[in-house]
Amino acid sequence: MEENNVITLQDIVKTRENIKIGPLNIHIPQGCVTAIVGTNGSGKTTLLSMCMGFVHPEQGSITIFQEKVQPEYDAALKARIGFVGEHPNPDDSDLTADQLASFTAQWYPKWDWQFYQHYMAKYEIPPKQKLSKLSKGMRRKLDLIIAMSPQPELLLLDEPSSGLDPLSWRMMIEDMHRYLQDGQRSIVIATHIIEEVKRLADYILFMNKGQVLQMVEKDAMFDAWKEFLVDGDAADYDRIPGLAKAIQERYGVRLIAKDAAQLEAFLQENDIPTLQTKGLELDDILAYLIELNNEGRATNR
Amino acid sequence: MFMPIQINDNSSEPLYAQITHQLRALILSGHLEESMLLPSIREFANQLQCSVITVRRVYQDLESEGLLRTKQGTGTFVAQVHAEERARYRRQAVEQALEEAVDAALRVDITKEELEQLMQEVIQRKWH
Repeated sequence: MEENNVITLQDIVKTRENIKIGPLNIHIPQGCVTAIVGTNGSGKTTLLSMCMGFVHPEQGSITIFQEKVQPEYDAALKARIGFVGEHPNPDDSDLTADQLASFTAQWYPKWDWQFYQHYMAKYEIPPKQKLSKLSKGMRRKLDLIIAMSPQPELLLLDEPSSGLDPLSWRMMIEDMHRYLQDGQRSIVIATHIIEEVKRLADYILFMNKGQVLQMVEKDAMFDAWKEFLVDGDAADYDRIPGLAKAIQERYGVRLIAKDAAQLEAFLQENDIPTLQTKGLELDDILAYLIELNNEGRATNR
Repeated sequence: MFMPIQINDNSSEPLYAQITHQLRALILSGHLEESMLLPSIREFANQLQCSVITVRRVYQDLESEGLLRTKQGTGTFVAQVHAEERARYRRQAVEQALEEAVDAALRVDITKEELEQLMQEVIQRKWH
């Protein structure tokens, strides 16, 4: 099936205090969840802020729903996007949840009060208490509800689950799946939580030091990254196809594959028996990607 | 709707292939009845913790095999499976298991006669 892009970044460059972000060329498919994964300071928050028009890139263009994001405020475009930022807006602290909702609702023609009230009750958020009195997790849940109440076509979420208890977190994941049910809506979520990526993401965008390491479909990635345990010395396997790294163990060598199909074919052709095959976790994959990227830079120099 | 499909993260078989094999087996073995509505792509992806891209691919592949059919706007259903196809599948599943048993025998170098005798013994022991 032909997939449209909900967000396209073209040659985006932005200089931050310690880091140059970009040039970024990214296509985010519609109807999918794209998780942005990276270390602190990799540019995730800046990327989302640029999509919202809060931060202006020095170069390049951003297109959302086939419309260019302009430096001027574009209410019609914003009305189709739900956003949860890294931190709650401190200016809202003196408002109650209901007041914040009433204020926000003015900007959104499709704001759904029934949705708002249903989820306020479900997550047991006191509607008439000042926001400064809410716990961090409560405030996070409220921000999510307010982002989703306008029935947006796109959700941009910057670590939305920080401070959520495990049960609220589970409800949130389920609610996001419900939100996505029609197949047209999209979510872009910056997250550090591995389980969140596993449970939600269709695509993963790996970032490091302001650059894209890789944009990859989640299952293709987990299929490609496997670990094979074989006999012998690590040095024997140094340059075999599909390998990311060979690690010497006392009882054999762990071959970390970045292309498992290729590496497995090589082992079979050379009659090397595999003692064990294992999947890799997302954080391991991120670490190896960063390592390979650094090595690549070193050898290119 | 819960689907009894189990994914092995530690297998080198690609995820989409694992799901396709198991779903095909559920249909051909008759566990899933004809015209039964399958979960939506997003729902199934949620349950299996895989991407919608994978589920879409599985549904498309099984649809082109004639095991599923999609009605626009309604969803994906189990198609009618002919009796002979079911029978062929049952035979195939057993044949495959036997092949694996023979492979195991080849690995440990036992003789053909020993294997045949062993097969007889297992059949005697298990057949009720």
